[in-house]
Order: sequence, then C-alpha cells, then structure tokens
Amino acid sequence: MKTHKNIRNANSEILIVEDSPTQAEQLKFILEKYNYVVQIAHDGKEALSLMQKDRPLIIISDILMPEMDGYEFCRHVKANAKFKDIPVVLLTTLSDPEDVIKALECGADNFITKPCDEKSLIARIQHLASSMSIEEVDGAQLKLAIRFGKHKYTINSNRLQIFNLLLSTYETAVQKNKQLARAEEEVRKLNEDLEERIRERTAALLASEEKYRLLVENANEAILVIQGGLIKFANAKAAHVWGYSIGELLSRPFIELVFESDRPATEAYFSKKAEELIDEVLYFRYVNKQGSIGWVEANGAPIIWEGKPGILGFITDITERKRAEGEILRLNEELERRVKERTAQLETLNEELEAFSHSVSHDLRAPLRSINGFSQALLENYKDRLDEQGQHYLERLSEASERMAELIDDLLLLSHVARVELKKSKIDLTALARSIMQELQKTQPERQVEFVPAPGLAASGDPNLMRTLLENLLSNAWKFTSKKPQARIEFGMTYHDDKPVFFIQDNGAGFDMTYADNLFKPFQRLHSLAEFPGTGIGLASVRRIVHRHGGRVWAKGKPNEGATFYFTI
Amino acid sequence: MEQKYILLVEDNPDDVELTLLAFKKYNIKNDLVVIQNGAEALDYLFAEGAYAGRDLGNMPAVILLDLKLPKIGGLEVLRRIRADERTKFLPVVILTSSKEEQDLIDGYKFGANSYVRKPVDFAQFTEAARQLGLYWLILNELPPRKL
Repeated sequence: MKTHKNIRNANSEILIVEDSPTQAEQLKFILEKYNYVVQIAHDGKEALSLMQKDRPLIIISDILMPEMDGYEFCRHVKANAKFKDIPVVLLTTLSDPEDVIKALECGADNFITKPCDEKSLIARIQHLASSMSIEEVDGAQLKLAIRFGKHKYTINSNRLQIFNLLLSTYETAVQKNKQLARAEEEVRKLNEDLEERIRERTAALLASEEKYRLLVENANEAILVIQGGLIKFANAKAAHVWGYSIGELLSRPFIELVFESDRPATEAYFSKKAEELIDEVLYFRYVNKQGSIGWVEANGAPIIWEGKPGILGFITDITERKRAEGEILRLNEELERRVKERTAQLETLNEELEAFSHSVSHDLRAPLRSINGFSQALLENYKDRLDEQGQHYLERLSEASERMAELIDDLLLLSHVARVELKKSKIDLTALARSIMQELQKTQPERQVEFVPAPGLAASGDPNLMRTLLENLLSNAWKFTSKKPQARIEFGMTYHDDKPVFFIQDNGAGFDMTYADNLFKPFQRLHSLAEFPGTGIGLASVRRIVHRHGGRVWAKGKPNEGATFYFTI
Repeated sequence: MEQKYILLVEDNPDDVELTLLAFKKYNIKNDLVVIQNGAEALDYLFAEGAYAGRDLGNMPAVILLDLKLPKIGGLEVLRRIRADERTKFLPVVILTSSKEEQDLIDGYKFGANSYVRKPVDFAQFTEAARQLGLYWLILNELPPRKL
C-alpha cells in the first residue's frame, strides 16, 4: 500500500465535512491553532469534488448530514482507489454499538466524539498522522460478515484500520468513563452541599419559629386563633385575661367569652369580609372565669391555620383605660355642673348688683333733690328773712347735695362699666375726641384751648365705653389745664414694643410721679377739691374700660408741666 | 272748653311739692292733679274704683309719670295707657331719677313721648318743669278728641 510520508508537515491539509457551519468553524478554529490547513465542505458531494482538486491528509466527517450521510461518504472515499488510504475520522456521539459496526463497515479509520474536546481531538489527529508511517505489514483485506441486532454487516477494512478504530472506540469509552466518574463526584459533592444547606435552613427555620413562638406566647396582647367559632390557639395573655388555663380555652366557643349583650356586635364583626376585618377595631366586654366583666379592644386578621381558614385575633385589655376614661368623664361633668352653679350664682349676684345700682340711682338721689330743692326754695322765697350767714349755710347745703349727686353718678358709672356687655365695633377715635372737645368747649366757651388730634385714629371697641373713656381723659385734661392761659391738649398715637399706644397729653397741672400708682384707684385724688373739683372715680372707670378691652393704661407727669395718659386697646 | 291740666303720678311728696314750686315760679297756672301710686292712676284714667263716674272726656293734657311707684310700676302704667283705645294717644312724659340705660330703652319701647331725668340741682329742676309745661300745655297739639 502506498503511503504519503512526504506530506506529513505542519501545514498538512485537513478536510472537514460538516453541514452545520457553526460546528465546522469551531473545528476549524481548533485545528488552525495547531497549524493545520483546513478546508470545509458542507456535504459529501462537495467534499468529493474538493478532494479531486486537492487531496487532503485527513478527512473529518460528520455522520448526520442531509442527502449523503457520513457512512455513505466514507464508503465513497474508501471505494475510490485514489483516496482509500486517506484516514477518515467520523464525528459521532457514540451512543449506540451499531455506530461502531457501521463505521467498520464503511471503512472509517477513527472516531471523535461530539462535542469536541480540544485535547483529545488534537491527540487523535496527531496519532492518525503518525500511524500513517507504519508500513502495512499485512495488507490483506479481510472480509468479515457480522450479524448485529437484526442487521448483517460486511467489513472490508484491513486489520490496522480495524485495530485503530477499535482503539479509538476504547479510548473514547475510557474517556467517557472518566468523565462519568468526574460527574459522579461532582454530583456527590453537590448532594453533600445541598444536604448541608438543608440542615442549615432547617435549623434557621426552627430558630425563627422558636422566636415567633416566644413572641406570640409572651406577647402582652391576648392572641387567639378562632376557626369555625372555636378557639384553636391561645397565648398566655389570653389565658390571663379570661382567667382560664390555655388548655381550658382551647376548643371553647369564642362567643362564650363575650359578655352577653355584646355578643350580637361581636358576631356581626366576625361575619365581615377578611379585608374589612383588618381595618376595623371591635370593642366589647368580656366575662372571665370568675364572672367579672372587663373591656377589650380587638382586631382580627384572616389566617390559614393548619390548612383551613380562620381568624387571628389580637386583643388588648382596656378595662383600666375605660375606667380612667369614665373617671375623666365624671370629673368633667362634675366640673361642668360646678361651673353652671357658679355661673348661676354670679348671675344672681349680678342681678342683685344691678337692682342695687338701680335703687341707688333712684332712692339716694331723691332725698338729695329734696335737700337741694328746698334749700333753693328757702333761698329764693325767704331770702329777706335770712341773714348772710344763713344764706351761706343754705348755699353750702345745696353744693354738698350736688356734689353727692355727682359722686353717685360716677359710682354708678364705675359699676356700669364693670358689668355692661361689650359690643365691639370699629370706632373713629379722632372724630369721637373732636365731638367730646366741642361739648367741653360749650361748658366753658370763654376758655382758649388748643386741641391737636392726630388724624385717622381708630380702634375696635365698645362705642359707649370708648366714649366714656375719652370723655374722662379729655375732661381731665380740660380740667387740669384750666389755670393755664395757653392750654394745649394733644391726642395721638405712638408705638411701645411695636404695638400701637394711644395717648392724651396736656400741659396742665401735671402730677408727682411718686403718687402715679394711686391715680387709677377709686376715690384717690392728687389735688384738693378747692384746686380742682372731682370725685376721684373717673380714672378708675378709665382703667376698667381699658382692662375690659384687654388693654393697659398708665400715666406720666410732672407737677406744673402736664400729664400724659397712655392706653392700649 | 275745659282748662288743660297735668296729671302727676308721683309717690314722693317732696318731689310733688318741688314740682308745684317750680310751676308756681314760672306761673304755670294749669291744674295739677297728683296721684301717688300706679293703681290709683289707672283708676283715675279709666274712671274706675274711687274715680268711678269721672268724666272720661276730660283727659289730662300730659301725664308726668314717675317710674318707681308703689303697687303698679310706672312702666306697667304706661303699657296699660298705650293698650287702651281711650288713652293710647295721651302724651306721657317719664320723670325719673334714673339714668339707667335699660329704663330709658324700656320707657321708649312702651311708648313714652319723652323721658326727663329729675336733676338734683333745683335750678335745673325748675327749668325742666318750665319747659315741660310750656311744651305740653301750650305748644303741643293733641290728637282730635273723637272716640
């Protein structure tokens, strides 16, 4: 047999016959790494025609190909005298012994299993290339008839060829066996790993379950699982609330634990849909083993318990809270009752005070009128029978009665100011002050007083009381400037701590600041009656009016230099 | 035509005397009928009780009515005067010591024609009496007496 020792070089040509372009390229890539020159044919026909032009060193052929399969292609190669000594390597999965026999039958020289392992592929190719150098000792063709399964096969290969093919089969088998052993080892390791993980997971689950069990059992809230109306689980707190042991609670109908008159509401709650349960809180009274009654606040959630639907109930004992709420309610009622009582007392007092004022107004004035009236009548009708001294006494009498009338009026005003109901509205203080000053001017038209009101002064207050306030302050200014030839009264506004403050300033008699505290006290006067008449009640009324409006009043002054009264409203 | 006269309903004899003095001072010569309590005033006006048989056609030109009266108060007397067809147009002037706001409001509410506070000062008192007499006895025109 003719051999081709001359083409055993690095760029020996290998022909790949493979219908899948991917697999062909993959093989080509590996082989080219080892400096083989590679040609690809996509089917048997193309391969045969390529071989005519360019004789390959080794042929690697796929088996499953359309039209002409690997066996048939091999048979064509081996049948051709020109090509029959080119080694043909079949790519096979080697899943069936029949593959070996079919390969022998078609005269193939070697097997390579798919998928291709780079190392064994290169070793096989190198072996084939080198075995070609072995001289065929016995070139005799064997004709071997084999029956395998249902088929009969005829093998024409020479012995070396058969030996090579069987060796490659054996090698492949050994390789597969090794792979199997490796795979088995891997599986064993994976198994061990899995088992370890299962053990760990189980321990974690147990620990977690223990944690939740402890939480539930020791919760400060009663926890129950109710299924079909019966208690299926109860924690220690539940047992504590109802005074039963946990064992006694289990399998007991839940409704028995509810105070009778609260049962309908509780049953209505349990008949609600799962999603409604979660958002709603149920308050009901319970009856414990000893028969005493308490309040609870309950919230349910749907649960699957031992495979069946049930309700998980969280229950808080609020008996103490309810008791405290009741106590607060009772205290509030008591307080309200007392406030009502006190208000009624005050109203009575106020009525009495009003009646008293009314009576003072009428009854104290009547005798004064008599004193004054009859003194005047005496003076007018009996003047000729009285000497000067007698007339003087009568004048003193009528003056005293007038002064007492003034005192009564001012006292009434003070008490009126204290108890009259406030009706607030916006008041033009500048206009009000002007009108009061005009009235004052009428009482003494001969006086020259310069009045300087700031324009646009306004405040919110009771119109009557505000008039009384300004009347008192302005008539004081009027009175205390009476001895000044150039009297000046100013009404204005300034700011103290960013808040508006009204003031009435005069250049009159003024006062000594040492006694400033006494100014606003009733019946306190800083001047003698002979100097300036007055009752000493006007500023007390001013202070009351200001206080009733939530404001403040104070004064600054200096003897003979005037006084300034400040007030806020 | 009969002389116009004043009906003074006043329980305080001093005030009655002072009023008479004041009228005298200003020469108001009209008759002054004085009645000292509310119940009697009503009897007089409606010709009842002690005044049964009084000529109902002879009504006062003005009634000076004190508020604080024994038995029936001044406001109640006023209310009854206004409620009766025979007296509802009679001029009524309330005379009082009170300056209480509520008294004022009630007086006008019940139909007082005027409201005069009795001043302590006798000079002012006589001036008030003079003006009252002048206005109600001389200037004021009564509604036609047809009932």
